Amino acid sequence: MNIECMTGRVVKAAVFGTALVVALSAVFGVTVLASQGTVVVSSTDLVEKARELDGQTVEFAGEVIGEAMLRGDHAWLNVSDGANAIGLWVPSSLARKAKWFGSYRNTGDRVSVIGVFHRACPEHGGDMDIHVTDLTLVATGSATRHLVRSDRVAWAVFFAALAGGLAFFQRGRERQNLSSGR
Amino acid sequence: MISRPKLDDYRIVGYYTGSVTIGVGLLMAIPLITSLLRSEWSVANDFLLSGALAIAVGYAFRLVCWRPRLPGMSWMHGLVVSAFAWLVAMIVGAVPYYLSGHYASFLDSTFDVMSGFTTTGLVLLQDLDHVSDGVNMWRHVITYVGGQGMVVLALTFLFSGMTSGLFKMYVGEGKDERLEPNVIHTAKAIWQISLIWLAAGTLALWLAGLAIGMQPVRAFLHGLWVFMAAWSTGGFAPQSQNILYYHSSLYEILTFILFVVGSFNFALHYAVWNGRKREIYRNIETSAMFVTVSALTAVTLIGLTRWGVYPNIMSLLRKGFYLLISGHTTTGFMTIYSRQFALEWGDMAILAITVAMLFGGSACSTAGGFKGLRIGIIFKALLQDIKKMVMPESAVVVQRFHHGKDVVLTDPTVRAAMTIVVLYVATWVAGTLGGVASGYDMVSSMFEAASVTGNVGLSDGITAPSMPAALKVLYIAIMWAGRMEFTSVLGLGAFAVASFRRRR
Repeated sequence: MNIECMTGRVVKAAVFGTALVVALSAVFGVTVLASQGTVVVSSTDLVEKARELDGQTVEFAGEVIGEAMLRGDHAWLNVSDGANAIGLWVPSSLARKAKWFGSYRNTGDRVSVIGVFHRACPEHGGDMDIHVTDLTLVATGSATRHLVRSDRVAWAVFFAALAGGLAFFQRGRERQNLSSGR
Repeated sequence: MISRPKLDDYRIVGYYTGSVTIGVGLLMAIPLITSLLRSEWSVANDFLLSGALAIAVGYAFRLVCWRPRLPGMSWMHGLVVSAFAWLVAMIVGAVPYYLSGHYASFLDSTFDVMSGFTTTGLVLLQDLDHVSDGVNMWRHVITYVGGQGMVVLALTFLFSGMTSGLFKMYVGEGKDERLEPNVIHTAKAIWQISLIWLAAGTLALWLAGLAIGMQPVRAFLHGLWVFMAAWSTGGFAPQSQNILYYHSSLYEILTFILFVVGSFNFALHYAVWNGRKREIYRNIETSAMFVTVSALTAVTLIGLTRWGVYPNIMSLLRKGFYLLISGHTTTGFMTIYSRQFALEWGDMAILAITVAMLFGGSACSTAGGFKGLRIGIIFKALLQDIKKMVMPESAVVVQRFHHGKDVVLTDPTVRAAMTIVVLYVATWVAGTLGGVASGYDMVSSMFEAASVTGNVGLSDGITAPSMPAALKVLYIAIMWAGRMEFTSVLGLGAFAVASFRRRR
């Protein structure tokens, strides 16, 4: 084997090796980047594409509803984007950022969270949830005003009077018949 | 063929329907008081309006239909009153729902009322997470009363001075067991059992709510409402995520116990209450349910494991087992999102849960479906036929079963059980066809139709405000017929047809 031939093989091996390393790096690099990248999702995406998104870091936004349920150093927040409410497993320190919770009385705080999505969380009995690493308060909630409509008050008075009148009349008839029957 | 009804027949139906309607109006006092206590003034006004309207309608019925010495009630009257009163109650009960502004149409409101009264638990209400406490109270009172029976309630509190013909209304509502010789006492016994469980169940869920981090008042209200839905095998919950909202195994265990106990026959409760504890495992219903639950649990868990749906045993139990039993007892509590059934569960587990929903709970309970008693009777009849085949022709094969007491299996008993099961299956097929005709796929349509027919409430996503109005009407009819076990609905149908027949 001459030197030239040997050098050629070395060069070929080097080129092939480099190409392989570059290719592998590219593949793994993209995967790593993808897994590090955050996917912005809606609750419909989470439910409909649960298998696809399972284990990925996602960004999800919505209104905090109900209450924060503290469980040790974490808490459960349920956040609704209008279509579905999703359970968020949040460190207590982050959960405390939410002050207003959506209910009949209030519009809850609007939050945006980043965390790892689980289609069926092994830690939480198979619940679909997001383990939150970051929570940002997007908009503060407020109390909701519910006005009493005057037309409905009038209808309520009317029907109450009607019901009372009918009940008085009919019960009188029935009672009278009962006493005359005796 | 029944003869054309006379004026007095209409009077009887109208008079008693009016009384049940008054009962529904009076029931609205509970959400009205809740709204006042929670300072929900506009909601309180809506309940005042709706309650007064219901009472006015009820008294109008009584005013028009009453006459001195109204004839006694026949079986036909009992059946017609039960079926018709449920329709009128559905309409008046829907008024506060509609006024709440959480429904796209009045039809959607009536759907939810029928879903509640029949303890189905399917929901067309929108934005549940922002619903008032008053409306939530009404949703759960409806399901609680519906589970025990609206007529049972009226029997207990409104007609306590009357006894003639009331057993016929009680039977017409899908219950036929006398816990006591007197039907009023039977109704009172049912309510006594339910109210004692209400106190114990609410307390347990309240404490659980506090333990999982809920605020005291919310924990109490949620405890009360979730108890009502569990005991009645209704499946409503105050949050859109249903039981998933709580993210708690403790809450799931408690609700599990309550809906299993709620699905038992009231006669069984009464027997245990009176010290006959052996009845629990001797009764044909509990035996039948044990067998069907075991078999269907195996199929569900194998199916979920094969499809790799859940990562560990705990998840399999908290989702697979919980939802299967929720379906089998016809409760309908959910710990997953509706669409997850269709997207993740796989055909094997879906099939198992569909069958479980059709089988249902016990007779004379709050549950729907074929009922364990009928499944047991049909199985015993099959066993009897096999014995007849293998034994000498001269042999007399006597089959017995235990239901409160030892009973000899007779052909009329088997026929009655088979008739109801055949009607359930036919109704399920009709519901499935309705789903397919509306553009949904076959498996989803079968699943949803089983849920509607068995008054269950699990959903794979078909039931939504956006579904076609015709399908909503079909589902309302199926929920109603399934809850009344067909007899009184068929009775009402026959009464209506006879009304239009020409007098010869």
